[in-house]
Formats: sequence, C-alpha cells, structure tokens
Amino acid sequence: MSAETQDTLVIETRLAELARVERWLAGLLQDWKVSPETRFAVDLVINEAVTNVIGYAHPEDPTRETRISLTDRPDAIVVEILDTGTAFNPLEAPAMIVSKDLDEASIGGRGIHLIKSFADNYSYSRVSGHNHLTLAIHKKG
Amino acid sequence: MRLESELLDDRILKIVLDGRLDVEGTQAIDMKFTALTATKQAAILVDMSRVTFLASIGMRTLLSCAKAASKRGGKMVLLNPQPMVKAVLDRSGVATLIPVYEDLAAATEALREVHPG
Repeated sequence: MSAETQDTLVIETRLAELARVERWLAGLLQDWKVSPETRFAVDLVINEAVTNVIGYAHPEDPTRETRISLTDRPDAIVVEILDTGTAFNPLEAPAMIVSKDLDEASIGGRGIHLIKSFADNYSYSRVSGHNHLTLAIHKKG
Repeated sequence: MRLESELLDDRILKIVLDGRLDVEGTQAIDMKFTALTATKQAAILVDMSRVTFLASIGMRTLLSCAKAASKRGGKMVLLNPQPMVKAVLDRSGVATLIPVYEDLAAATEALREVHPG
C-alpha cells in the first residue's frame, strides 16, 4: 500500500484562477492535516510559481493550461507545476537585488527568491514542450 | 480582504489590513490603500496582525506606497505581523526597507520624527 496521496488541479493560465487554487489548496491541506506553518509555505511557493508562469511563460493566455499536482509524502509536501508555455527556468533567474535604501529598492523581483527560500528542494526540467517545476516542502510543526 | 483606517493623535494614519495579501486580496485593497497613503498624512502605521498570508504581489503594494511616502518626507512602518508573514518580510529583504515593530508604542515612537506635510 502506498503511503502517498496525490491530487491535481488544472487551471487556465490567468491570475483570476488563483482564487480557485486557494480553495483547492485549503481543503486538501486540511484533509491531509498539514501544519499551519507547512501550509503557509506550500501556499506561498504555489502563489509565486503560478504568478511567475503567467508572467513569463505565457502572459494571460487562457487557452493554455497549467497543471498543479500535490503529493502528501510522510516527510514532505511535493508540489509539481507543469505548463505548456515558452521554455523558462525560474530557478535560473537573476538573484534578487538587495537594497537597503527604500528610495532605490525595486518593488518587485522577490518571487523566485521566496520560492527558493521556502522550498527545501527545488528542480526544473523541460520535458516534451512542458516546463516542469518540482518543489518539496519538508513537514514542520 | 478588508481594510480599515483611523487617525491616531491627529497625526498618524493607522491602516488595519485583514485577510490574505495574495493576488485577489491585494487587488481588492490596492486602490484604497494607495489613495489613503497618498494623502499629506506622512506618518503611516500599517497594522499587519490580521494578515494571514503575504505573497510578493502584496509586498509590491506595501513597497510602492512606502516609497511614495518616503519621497514626500513621510514614513511607513508595519505593526505586529504573524510569524510566517514576518518570515516573508524578513527573507524578501522588505523588513529592512519598511521597519517592522511588535508593539504599538515602539511603532508610534518610530513615527515621532515625521511631521505631516
């Protein structure tokens, strides 16, 4: 018997779909009895990754789908995000520019850094026309 | 996502945010938050204690308004974020740009030097 449970949500690639992602995620992580701290991290990396896919891979193209899969493993929640957009490896994006001066600081450019900071493992591959991002969040709390 | 505001001691604009600062939540408060903080009231205190989630889109709004206030000689501070929201502010470097305080007295003290324009 497998100790893993998996669930998948397919969304249209547009920002308004994130509300649906939130409802799906809240129900699933509650069913899986994931701690609030781990829930927050999973929620955050999905938000940042999907926002990023929409921004870079295919800006607001509702005919393209993004597939989000979640796996409940004994030690971690594994997030896989698959989209059909232009090849784009978010993990190779330039490092966040750190500024200590509010007047000079950029208002954006923090999403990828947050993904790397809140996910314990991450990897990207381009597989038969798909961007495939895998993020693992170790269970805490 | 809800937003309430009040004036403290006739000089500090206190804004209470309540809910998730994700894409949907940020879009819901962005215009009102921007309009409120764009007034001459230069000292802005944002009560984060009821914010349950913060993504980079929410930090864009906070930073954009904090920068605008700073340009006018004003200042924005954040009050009492929940631990995971605080972790996002810390790890993204935003906590070094918009000061974060754990109690009201320290936050209002930090705004003491700011005078409404």
